[in-house]
Amino acid sequence: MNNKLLVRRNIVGYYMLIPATILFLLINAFPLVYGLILSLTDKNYTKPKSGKFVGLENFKSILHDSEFWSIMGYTIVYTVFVVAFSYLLGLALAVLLNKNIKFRGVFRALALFPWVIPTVVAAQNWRWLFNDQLGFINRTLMELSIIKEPILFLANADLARLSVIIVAIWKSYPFMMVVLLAGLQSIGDEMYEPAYIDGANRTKIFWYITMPTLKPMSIVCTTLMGLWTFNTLSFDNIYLLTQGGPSGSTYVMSIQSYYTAIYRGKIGYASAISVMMMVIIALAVLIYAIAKYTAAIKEQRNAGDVNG
Amino acid sequence: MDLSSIVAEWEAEGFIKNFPEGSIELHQYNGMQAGIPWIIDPRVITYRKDVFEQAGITKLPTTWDEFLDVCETIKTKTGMTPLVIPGDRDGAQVFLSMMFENGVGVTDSSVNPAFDSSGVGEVLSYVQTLYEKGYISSSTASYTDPDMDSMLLSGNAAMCYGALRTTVYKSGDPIAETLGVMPSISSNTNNSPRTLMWVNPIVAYSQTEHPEEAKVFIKWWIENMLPLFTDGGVNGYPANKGLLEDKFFNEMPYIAEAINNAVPYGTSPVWPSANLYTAWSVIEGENYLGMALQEIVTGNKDHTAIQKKYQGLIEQAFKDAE
Repeated sequence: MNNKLLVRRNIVGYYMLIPATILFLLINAFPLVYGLILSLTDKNYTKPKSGKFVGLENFKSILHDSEFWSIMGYTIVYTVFVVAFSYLLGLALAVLLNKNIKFRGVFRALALFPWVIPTVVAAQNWRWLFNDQLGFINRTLMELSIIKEPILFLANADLARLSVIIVAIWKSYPFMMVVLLAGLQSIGDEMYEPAYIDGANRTKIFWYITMPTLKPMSIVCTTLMGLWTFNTLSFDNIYLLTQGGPSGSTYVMSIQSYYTAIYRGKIGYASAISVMMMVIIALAVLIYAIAKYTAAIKEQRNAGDVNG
Repeated sequence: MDLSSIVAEWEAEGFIKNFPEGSIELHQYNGMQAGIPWIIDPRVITYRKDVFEQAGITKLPTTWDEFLDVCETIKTKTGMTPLVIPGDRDGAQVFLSMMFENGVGVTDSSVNPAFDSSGVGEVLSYVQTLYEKGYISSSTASYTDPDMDSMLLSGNAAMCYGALRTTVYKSGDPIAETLGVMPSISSNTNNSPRTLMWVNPIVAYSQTEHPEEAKVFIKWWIENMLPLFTDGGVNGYPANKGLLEDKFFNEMPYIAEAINNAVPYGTSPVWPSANLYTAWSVIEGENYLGMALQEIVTGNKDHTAIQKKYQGLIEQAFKDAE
């Protein structure tokens, strides 16, 4: 094929990409850039004349706001706990449901339920479960004389922080389970047979064959879940369960940004909070990339030492 | 669009007396009549008449002390949670109603933030008493409006404080048929019963090509909107109080009691200010009053610190609104 024909074909290809590119820019790039611009202004929807450029003033105010630091701390704790425990639960169930047990299909379907139930419905059900007087958990525990006073799952600040995390784990583990189950099914018997012949026990097989093989899937699902939880899932879950209460104890950054934008009209300040969220995620990714790069270098050196 | 001309016509016709006190002024902004009162939505104490009868309560309370006595009687004689109130945004409305019962608002009459007043401190003490004596649930901070219906209809509570339970009342549930609306109460030192009453307005956009026709329609609609409730099934109540005299609103005892026992004492949310636009949207939106309530019903007894904290936030809302 001559070069002219190749170039012409490529141009046609580029033309065909234009609609998708425009759509991408409109849907993804525009809100992002507009959000960044807003974060540098004092834009307030309740004040028509606002919107002047204030540089990094919003960010300075946020960093000097003691409430922001505690909210950020809880957002990170919330994300870490939800990702870690939903991963562990998903992994345990994936290993269990990968075994050749009776009614395996039914159990797999049942385990997916939390993921299938709409978030609003799930939250309302959990609110009922957690209710002090009508809720299933408190009534059962009291009927069994295990507790004398109801547990205030959503009315006590510390318990509310824990309760919203538990519900988020329950809602998130099926995704982990599905991804890890797919990973487990891709590991053929030929991987395990030599280990059995060499006399390796189940624990060693799990740690030295199963887990390393699942590593790529684990990285993908924990990364995705981390991003979703930090950005979106924290908002849906907490807003529906506690609206950030009691007394602001379950505020996360997304809720703070929403309240600031919607109720105060301070869209510039709210955008700055959202940008801070983006920065935190970028930092987390950067730390992970550096760690991975360092580990790869170390591995190469070790391999070099062995070979040398 | 400025709707002042409608108000001027009503003043000339004497029709203006049909609107709740302060409801016309509530919708004035920068010298213009930005809205016309349309629907009212009072906060009331709904109670189960059968439970009161069972507990031997024959006289309904009119003051805080009497109300606390009623709570104690219900708790002792029935074992029920006497009162259920929401702890979320709707809780803010109950807290504001209690502030009105004690004759104080978010601002003073000079429109200065007044959450640090001694009157608000008394309201915090009153809520703390309700909480500590078990007259409201220990889980109040997590309750929402639907939880009140569940508590009431499941036989776990004798009273609830919030919006009218009209839908529940019309549900046909045997318990719902026993519901009544208690007369608005006042604190022990304030002899003027009040309750929070939202007044939702009709507004018109200035972009309309037919402003005069729009005003004619709005005026006619407010005066003649009875079918909206009788045939349209709207659960609210007309701000035009003349329409409340229709037999439709008086043939159901629960609704009639609300009209007689709460509406006359209905008070605008920004009282004693006449109107308060941007600052109020922050105070309400950020749920400062609901959060103050949550502080008490999660065991915080430091009233001074609570008042100082939310006074500061309300002052900031005023500054932001400037």
